[in-house]
Amino acid sequence: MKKLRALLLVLSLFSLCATAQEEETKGQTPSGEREETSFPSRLLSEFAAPVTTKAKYILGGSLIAAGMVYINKGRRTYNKRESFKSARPFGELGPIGEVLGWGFLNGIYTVGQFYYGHSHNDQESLRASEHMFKASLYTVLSTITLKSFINERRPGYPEDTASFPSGHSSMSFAFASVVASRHGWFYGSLAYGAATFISVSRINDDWHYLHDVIVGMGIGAAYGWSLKYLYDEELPYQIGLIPAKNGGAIQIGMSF
Amino acid sequence: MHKPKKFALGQLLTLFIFLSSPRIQGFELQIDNPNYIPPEFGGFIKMGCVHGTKEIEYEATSAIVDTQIYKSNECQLNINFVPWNRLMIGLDIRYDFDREYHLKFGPLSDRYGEPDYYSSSSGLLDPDIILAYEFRSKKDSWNQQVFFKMNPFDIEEQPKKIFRGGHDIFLEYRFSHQYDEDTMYGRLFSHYFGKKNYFQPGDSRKSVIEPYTEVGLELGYLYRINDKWTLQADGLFALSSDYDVITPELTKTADKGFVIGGRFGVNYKLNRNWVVQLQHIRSSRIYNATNEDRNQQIDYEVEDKINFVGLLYQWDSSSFFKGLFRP
Repeated sequence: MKKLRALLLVLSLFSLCATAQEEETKGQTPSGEREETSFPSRLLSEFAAPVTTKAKYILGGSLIAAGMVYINKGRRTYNKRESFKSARPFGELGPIGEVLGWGFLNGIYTVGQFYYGHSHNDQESLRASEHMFKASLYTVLSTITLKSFINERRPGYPEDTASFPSGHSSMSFAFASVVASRHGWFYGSLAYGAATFISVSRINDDWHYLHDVIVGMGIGAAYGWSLKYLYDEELPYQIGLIPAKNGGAIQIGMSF
Repeated sequence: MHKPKKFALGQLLTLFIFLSSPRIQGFELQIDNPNYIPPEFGGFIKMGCVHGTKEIEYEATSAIVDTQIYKSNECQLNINFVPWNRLMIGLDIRYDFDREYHLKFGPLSDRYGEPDYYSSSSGLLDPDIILAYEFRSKKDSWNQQVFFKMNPFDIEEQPKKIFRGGHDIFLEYRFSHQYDEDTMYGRLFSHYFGKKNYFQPGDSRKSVIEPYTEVGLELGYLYRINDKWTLQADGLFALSSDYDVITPELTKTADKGFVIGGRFGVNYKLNRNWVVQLQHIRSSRIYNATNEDRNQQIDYEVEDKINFVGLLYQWDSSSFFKGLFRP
């Protein structure tokens, strides 16, 4: 039932996005230039970007990988507090990932780029700051929404039902993806390395299952890259929910 | 009014156009790259011998419960062909001509004091089918692929099943990046290992490995010394889901694990079509046991060592096929 509710929520969000996408498409002049779109429609377009841009492959890939993990998850273990030392790849370093994953990296980047852009009148830095802020915001919103609808217990702390998906993983991968998309693969690799450390530390310290972390990574990376694609003005899909007399229909359009 | 049938046709048409459009950019991989896909109507064969050792150790409070050692000698034949555009199909067959199994009981085992158990076997391992697609890259220096491998066949329940079989599914995103003469390569993978039932020779009791999944990243570097010689080195890190093994002696359950591995290889190009390959691969899997007393420190490890000697041969049959379809 909870999963059905989550599915319905996602579908409703898609339908809202559809309206936004449609308005955005209507906003184009015959010469192809875009007119200013309203704030709510832009917000919804950006929120749906992981499924309406090329980033859908990132999200799709992570969902398939998570599905391959979840499909054989027969035995659930809620009866312990922590793993054996030998089975923890990062040993006692887990708390560092715990702290870093609270969004400090995202915050520092956003404020730093904003400050630099504002003081040097650098539009690119201001845009990077906006990109990180939006990617982090949408990632947090999606993660919290999913956490509140899917009440999965944590492996080491079964009293806590916010295991799926991993917020630390989603935030850190949103950070890394924005860095990679804006500053190239050298800095991107460093950022992805840090994000991987944060994500794996969550399994290391028994806060998450593997599939929680993979979906978290996918959400964060998809927002980081999809917003970059929107900045680059890629033509997205248009998704719409059509009300009918005895039900409804979902309409998908693609520009190519 | 929207018609679902037309929509489905439209989607199929779009997919067809996407797949059939010629590759615009992206660099050509060479045969010594692990992600190699030949051009259209081309193919390659990999023939080789694999010597492997797998040691599964289960320790509690630094005292061994039991140790299983598998030693294998396999012949490998891997055939791949690109019949259309950048879609590669392949078949991987391995014959295990000499496998030894050795089980030792430690002080914490119920069977401690009994002599070690030995067995040997041979036979065909479950064959794999391969599908790979190389897709377009906007940048010249990048090459990207989606790779799929599975063994749909279930040949027999033998001790070798522990290595291969049970409908394993490998799904990978592979990439290569050219940097001057050298190449960086890697893959993001999700490997699903199906349920494996197997028997030891002379023992009718069944052992079971429950399904589990590994998800991870492999990154490597191909260093080109000159036109003939290349060195390759890569590292792997993966995380594993539940890993449960039920043997007649013991049930071992684990709720998670991780894998660290590495490979070092040397390639020598005999000529344009032939390459000799030597590789040494090591990996270590460490699992978190769940069915033991928490006051004991459990070490549950699987160590693999593999040596590979092989020959790679590539061919191009485009002139034959183009001639065949020429009016």
